[in-house]
Amino acid sequence: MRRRSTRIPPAFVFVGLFAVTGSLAGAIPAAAQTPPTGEGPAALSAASVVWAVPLVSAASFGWAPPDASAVPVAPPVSFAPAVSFEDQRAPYRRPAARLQTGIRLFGAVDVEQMLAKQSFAATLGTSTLLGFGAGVDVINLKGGGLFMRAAVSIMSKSGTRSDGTVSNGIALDVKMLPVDLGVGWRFNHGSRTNQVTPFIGGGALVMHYSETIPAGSPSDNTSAWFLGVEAFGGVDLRLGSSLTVAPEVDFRSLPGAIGNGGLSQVFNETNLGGVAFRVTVGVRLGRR
Amino acid sequence: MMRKRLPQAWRFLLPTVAGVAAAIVGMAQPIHARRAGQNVTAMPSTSGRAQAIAVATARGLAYVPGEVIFKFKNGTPTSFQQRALMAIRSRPQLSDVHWMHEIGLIHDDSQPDANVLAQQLGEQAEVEYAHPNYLRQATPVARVVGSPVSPASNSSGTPGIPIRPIAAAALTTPFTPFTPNDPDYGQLQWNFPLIGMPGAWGINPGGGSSVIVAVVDTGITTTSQTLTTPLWNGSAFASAALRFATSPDLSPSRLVNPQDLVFSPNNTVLDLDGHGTHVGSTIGEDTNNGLGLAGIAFNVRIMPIKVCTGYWEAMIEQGQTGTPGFATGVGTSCADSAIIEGIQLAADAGAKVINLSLGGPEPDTGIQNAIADAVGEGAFVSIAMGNDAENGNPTEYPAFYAAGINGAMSVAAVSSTMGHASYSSSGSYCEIAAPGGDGPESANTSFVWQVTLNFNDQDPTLLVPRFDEYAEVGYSGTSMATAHVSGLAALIFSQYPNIKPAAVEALIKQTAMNLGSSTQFGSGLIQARAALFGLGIAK
Repeated sequence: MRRRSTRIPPAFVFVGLFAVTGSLAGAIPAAAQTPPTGEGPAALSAASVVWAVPLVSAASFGWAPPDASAVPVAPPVSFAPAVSFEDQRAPYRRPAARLQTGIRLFGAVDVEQMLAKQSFAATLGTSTLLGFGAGVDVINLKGGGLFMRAAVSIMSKSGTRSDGTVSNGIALDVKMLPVDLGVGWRFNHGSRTNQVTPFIGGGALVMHYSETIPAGSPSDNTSAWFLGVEAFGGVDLRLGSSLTVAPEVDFRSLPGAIGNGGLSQVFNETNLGGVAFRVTVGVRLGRR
Repeated sequence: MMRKRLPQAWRFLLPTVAGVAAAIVGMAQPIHARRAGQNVTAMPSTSGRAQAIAVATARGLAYVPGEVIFKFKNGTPTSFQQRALMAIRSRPQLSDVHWMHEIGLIHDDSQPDANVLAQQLGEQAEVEYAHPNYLRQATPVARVVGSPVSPASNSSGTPGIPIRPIAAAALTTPFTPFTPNDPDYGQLQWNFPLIGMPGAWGINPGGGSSVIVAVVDTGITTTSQTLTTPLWNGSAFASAALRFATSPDLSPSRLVNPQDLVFSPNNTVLDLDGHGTHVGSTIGEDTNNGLGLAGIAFNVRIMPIKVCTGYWEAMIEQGQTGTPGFATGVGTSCADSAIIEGIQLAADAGAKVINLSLGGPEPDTGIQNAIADAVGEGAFVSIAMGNDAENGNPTEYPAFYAAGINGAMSVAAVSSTMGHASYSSSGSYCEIAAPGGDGPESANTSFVWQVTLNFNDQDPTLLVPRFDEYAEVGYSGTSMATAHVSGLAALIFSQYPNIKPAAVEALIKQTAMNLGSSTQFGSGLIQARAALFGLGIAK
């Protein structure tokens, strides 16, 4: 990663530039004025900016110049060649960040509230499932905030089959393997100083769903892939130079995946998706 | 009401022929029991109900003469109740009312036309409803008798399947379909594979003994003894020894809390028809004992409640009251008052399933209330749709009420090919279907086979049939279909602890095999394995 020599808030840089262009020359004591160097503001170093800031700051806090009559006045000084304010600013504007594409590897913990609440609750005792997974974000695509995501997690829980009201004691194992394939946008991505980077995204969700009844016959089991969509949003929190934590919310939708049999048909619940609260812990590889 | 395929002639010919023979030989002494060691005692005095019902049916009446079932509006003071009773010609007292919970039964000999009585009482402001004490039928469409079954043939019997203890952990041991070793299971009981019983038994072998199924019917004999009673033999009364025995394939230890509400009011029940025993055997005949046939829930307990009487009950009562002649024209009938009380007794005794293989074309709010109350107490009620599809297909009660009560189901019958049984009543109130048998009498698949009374044992030297002889008997009718649903419900109660009756109904419907017409099949043919296996999320 490219490291900056000094961290100066942009606003201060701007004010410092303004102080040395001569626009405020009359208000600046001659003794304090910088002798012409012929280099012009374009060569203003970070150190000189630091120097300039106190001047402005002092003036703005009531510092008054000495009595003009008691101070010999030097002939007017002008910079040559004269440049306009706009001309002076332009060279200091930070060029648009064009960050290198990088990747963020992450592990994830999902807590998903299934949309088919009754079906899951009747068999598993809860409609909130815990999942663990991993994935990768390819970030700064085309030097911008665009990123791509591929992630996989697994959720599993055991319960018993039921009539919808009470258990019949026959064991039931449910496993879900959601695979996220999405794209998104990271806001504030161009800043190298931000600690918080919001992001949103969406894409395809491929889910493998299985129900296994150990005491049943193979035909009693369910194993199938379903295709759906997802949308997600969260914030990427920098914890260090490369370590980030990102809480996010994922909305997953797999309409029609269930509802043709079992309790999902009884309860008329057809969507195998849910709303997942996901926390990812990632390591960013590559230069920022 | 019923299809007239069942030959009834033997009921009258047999005693007639025997009576003539007895008269010829001057036979006046009791016929002694063949079975050694069987007690011989005098039959207790009967209630007289059977004779009254017999008289009614012989006259073609649909109700018990002079009897009305009614209910006062809630909160009616006793003084107002008494005032309402004054509307009846005999001016009965409140103490004369036979109370079945809040439902009353009043008898007025001065007005045998129960419709008039009901109108008089129903017009009173204090009365919520009043209607005659109707009679219903518990009669199969057809019956054939197969091989006799006796305890002696249980030589190769093996112990029944042990009751599976309630597992603390979820069941993961693979289920394997179970085929009972009862000798004629494979040959005769086509109906059980049709509803997935082998797989269901693999999951839950026969249910648990904590489940009680009440069979409100003609009774299931709970005692083995010989009872002497005077019987008309065609020319005079002769002391006859009636031999009773429990079914060799329905252990007496599994018969609990027997109730006789119409014939012999004591703590034993006698089945003089066979219908109740057949129904009870479908529900829970002893299974895997190397004897006879199998039942669905063969570990549950059965509560026999006798509410129906027929020819022999009437004959015995005529003998006890000295009424000469044969009880000609008498069919098996069940008074609403007894049905109501039977349902109430079953629910109060903790029965989880109540089987009502009976019905008729007359509505009865009292039965409707009793069923609803029983469901409220946690009992599932299975009710026959009726066998009158070819007799005008009238609306059948109490089956009609089942559609409006979650936890009670009306049951239609299907044939072995899963077609609509020709006799099975249909209508929008049909909720489910089960095997009832249909077809030519020469085919085993035309009947549901169970061990019940063997009336084919017609020793010409006997005055009466043997009530201690059992055989594999084929019946067809919605009564049989109803017993299948009751047996399945009993297994469900065993498999799903604390399940509610409404949930039992929902589960049976959800797992049924759709057969098409909802008026003929309801939600379809019951599938026992699927019901016990339950539901997952997607399948």
